[in-house]
Amino acid sequence: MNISVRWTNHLPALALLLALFGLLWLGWPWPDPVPDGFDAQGRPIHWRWAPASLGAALTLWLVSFALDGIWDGFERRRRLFNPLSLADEGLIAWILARVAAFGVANGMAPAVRVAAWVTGCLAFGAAVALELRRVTAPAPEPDPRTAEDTRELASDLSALQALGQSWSYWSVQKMPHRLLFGILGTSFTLGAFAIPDAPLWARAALLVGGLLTLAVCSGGLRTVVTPRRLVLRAGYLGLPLLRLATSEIAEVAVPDFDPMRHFGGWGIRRGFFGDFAGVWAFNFASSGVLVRTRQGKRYLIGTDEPDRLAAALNAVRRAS
Amino acid sequence: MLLHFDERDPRPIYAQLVAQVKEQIRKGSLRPGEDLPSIRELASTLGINLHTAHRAYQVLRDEGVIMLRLGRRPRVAALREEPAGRHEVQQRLAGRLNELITEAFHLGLSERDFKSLVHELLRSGRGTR
Repeated sequence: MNISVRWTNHLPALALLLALFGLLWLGWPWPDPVPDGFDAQGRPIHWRWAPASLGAALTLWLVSFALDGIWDGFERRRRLFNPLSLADEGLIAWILARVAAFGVANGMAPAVRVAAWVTGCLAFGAAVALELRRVTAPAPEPDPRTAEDTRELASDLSALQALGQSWSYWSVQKMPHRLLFGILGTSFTLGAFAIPDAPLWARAALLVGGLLTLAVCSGGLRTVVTPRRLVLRAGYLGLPLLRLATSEIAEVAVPDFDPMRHFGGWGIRRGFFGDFAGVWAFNFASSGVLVRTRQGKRYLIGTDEPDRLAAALNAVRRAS
Repeated sequence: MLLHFDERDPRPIYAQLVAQVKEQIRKGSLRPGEDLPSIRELASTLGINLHTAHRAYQVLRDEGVIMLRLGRRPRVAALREEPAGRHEVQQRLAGRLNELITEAFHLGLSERDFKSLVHELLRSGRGTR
């Protein structure tokens, strides 16, 4: 899938950034640290930093998002326009500027104040630069190994099927933004123990959510195809998600799809609109293989190499 | 990644798996840093003994082809940047090359024919340096 990007496609993101910057100037309220210590004249000398800590954690999260975005830019993998993709850089600018504004009001050291402003402006600049870079970034060159390898794989599998030999094909979909989700998972897990006076259900939810996030983001999505079955597992622990007998597979296709538009996001989802209505998607990124069973059920199986997985599935489908 | 074994192949199963992983790395189908199936997954999906899968991975690890660490998924190691030392080349390559030269002799190939065959294969195959 190769979607051309015009300069007008960037207007929503640029508008979003400008709006954030405007709100920043207007001083959109942000939960500043609450003073809890006062001197003899009643001036605050100590603050509770819970809201600021939240801001710092959010900033760290967003910085990791931004770094990931820059890395993706280098890898030339970011082809699709996504107006939300710049919200992170804009938010970093906003949060840092709020920190600076708080500093102005509360006598923060001038050097720290300036540093916060400069970092905010740099983050804003980086956001605009990243966005504009997408206009000129060439479409990624197709992997030269793909077509030849896929043909070779299909012929190897046909031969193996004909000989009745034992084989298995592994296909993996790595989770994008693994760093970000790793930080989130760790934060949730630690938060389950660190938050004072939290109710038990909240601790349990944080712990389960954190461990699940860590487990899934560490192993990605793994599809194993053998002459008899297709098995889909997720995460380091290999949580089973789907198991299909290869004799049940009626049709295999490599579709063009947009996870956000067709499924409302990533993960395990069900499509409700258009060509993907009724399709169960197991997808951590933006490429996959659509499998239709003889009973008419349809599954979208996420993989980083859809053509090769489709070739493997077609080989077993033809044989069964 | 495709792995298989042939029961009629005189080589042991682990050696067949080792050869396949190495070839897929040479051809670029497997890239450095890519995850490999765990030993248990490899054994269960191929229907082979756990020890056979373990041995295949051990050989690959010992040869520096994969990284095998406790508690982590096996992963394709970075490609060697410097050519191997004379001793290692002698140990892993010279003996097998000698066998091929002998085979070529008995097939009636001249030195020139043998060299041109090697050149042809190197040119047509991917993954040469």
